[in-house]
Amino acid sequence: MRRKSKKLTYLFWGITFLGFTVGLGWHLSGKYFPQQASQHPDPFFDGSAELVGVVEEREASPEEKRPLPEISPEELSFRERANRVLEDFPKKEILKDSNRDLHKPPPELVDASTELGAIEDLLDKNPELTKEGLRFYRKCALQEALLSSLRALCLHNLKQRAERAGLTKKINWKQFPDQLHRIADRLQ
Amino acid sequence: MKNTVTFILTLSLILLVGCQKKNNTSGFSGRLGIVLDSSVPEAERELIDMDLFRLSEVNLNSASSRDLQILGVQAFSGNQLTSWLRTRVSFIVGEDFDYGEQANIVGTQTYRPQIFSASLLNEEEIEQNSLITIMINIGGALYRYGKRNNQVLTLDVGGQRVYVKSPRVGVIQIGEGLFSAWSVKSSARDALANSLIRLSVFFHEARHSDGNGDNVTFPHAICPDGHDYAGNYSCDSAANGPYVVDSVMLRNLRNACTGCSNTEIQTFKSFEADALDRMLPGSWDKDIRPEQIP
Repeated sequence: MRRKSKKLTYLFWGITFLGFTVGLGWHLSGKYFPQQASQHPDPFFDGSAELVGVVEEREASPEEKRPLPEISPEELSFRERANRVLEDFPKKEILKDSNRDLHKPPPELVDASTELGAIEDLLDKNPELTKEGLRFYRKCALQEALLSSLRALCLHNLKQRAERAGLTKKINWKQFPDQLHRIADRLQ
Repeated sequence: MKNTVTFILTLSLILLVGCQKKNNTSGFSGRLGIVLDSSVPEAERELIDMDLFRLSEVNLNSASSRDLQILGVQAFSGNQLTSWLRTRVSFIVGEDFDYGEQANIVGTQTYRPQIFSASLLNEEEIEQNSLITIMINIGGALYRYGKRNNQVLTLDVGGQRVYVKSPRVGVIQIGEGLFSAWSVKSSARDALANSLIRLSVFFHEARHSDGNGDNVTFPHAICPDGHDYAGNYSCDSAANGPYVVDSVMLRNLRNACTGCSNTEIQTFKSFEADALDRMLPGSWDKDIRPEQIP
């Protein structure tokens, strides 16, 4: 009788110890390894990892990430013209022509200067086109395929227009190569 | 009968004189002492005379001390700039001038050129030597050829026989492109902007009349990899070389281009940017003193 009572006591304490250990373990696991969702309210992390990847892989310029502002017909017209001009601007490739006299500036620079002159005229007469003008000059100065002299001139025009409009601080000047800055600054 | 003979002789004389192409020394260029060879078309002569006259009238206050140092003048006045040009340009020849036919080897010479001293660089020496160029400095090129081959050359130009004994022989050849392809399209050939742009090219070529030793005629350097003109002799390793002179003149002449349109100003600046891009990093000033053979 006494032996039976002793066995029941051991069984009771064993079950109690086991229960305590399991309970403690469950408690600690909840405390030190919390579920991620509760720690990251960012909506990107609520979805699957795949969705996050898709969002991050998109290549978009800062302008595309936010809704495009409405532009006036004049601005649209300017932008279309500027895009055509950029497409027609002389590329470095033209200098590979073996029949060319490389001792003098390429004659194509004369035509490009005529286009730039017309754009300068437009910007002088229509101050509301200033931001479109800056956008055009920025794109021109960043296009590596264009003649470096032309890119430098675009950067120079960008600097002058930005300064006149008080928008110098809005432009990330570090995106342009040092050599272009050096030339652009000497065109004053 | 006697009257008829006299008439025929007079007529023949008039026709002969009329048919003969003349070397122009009567225009403004002639007054400066620059001979326009008969190969220069009439229309181009008038423009060159006009360009040089305009240069003589300028007063470029915008020149920096560095600009003055590069050209070696005390002021960018019309007087000093025309004098600078005159020292380096003596003859202007046209596109049709065949220097291969007009140049002759008249002797051999072991080239031990001396550097011009101020006393040697007088008007008489310049008159005896003479020049060649287009917006190619033919005189400089012939001098280098002679030096390389130990030959003394002469060149028949502007009705004179010129001994090519120095890069200062100063013969510049001009081509039609100077008056068309490199001109502002929307402006007339005689517009101020086109005049000043042409003058800047003269100054570039005139620098090729300077220098001594390895740097005689201020030859262009090869452009490095990654450059627009990579692999070509289209750059300068001299901080006072022809492209720098070009850019300095374009900037200062642009500032003198009062009333110029945006298109004209952009053309000045694009040429200027092209010239500045050709100056290699680490360039330094080189000795401009021209050498000569005794």
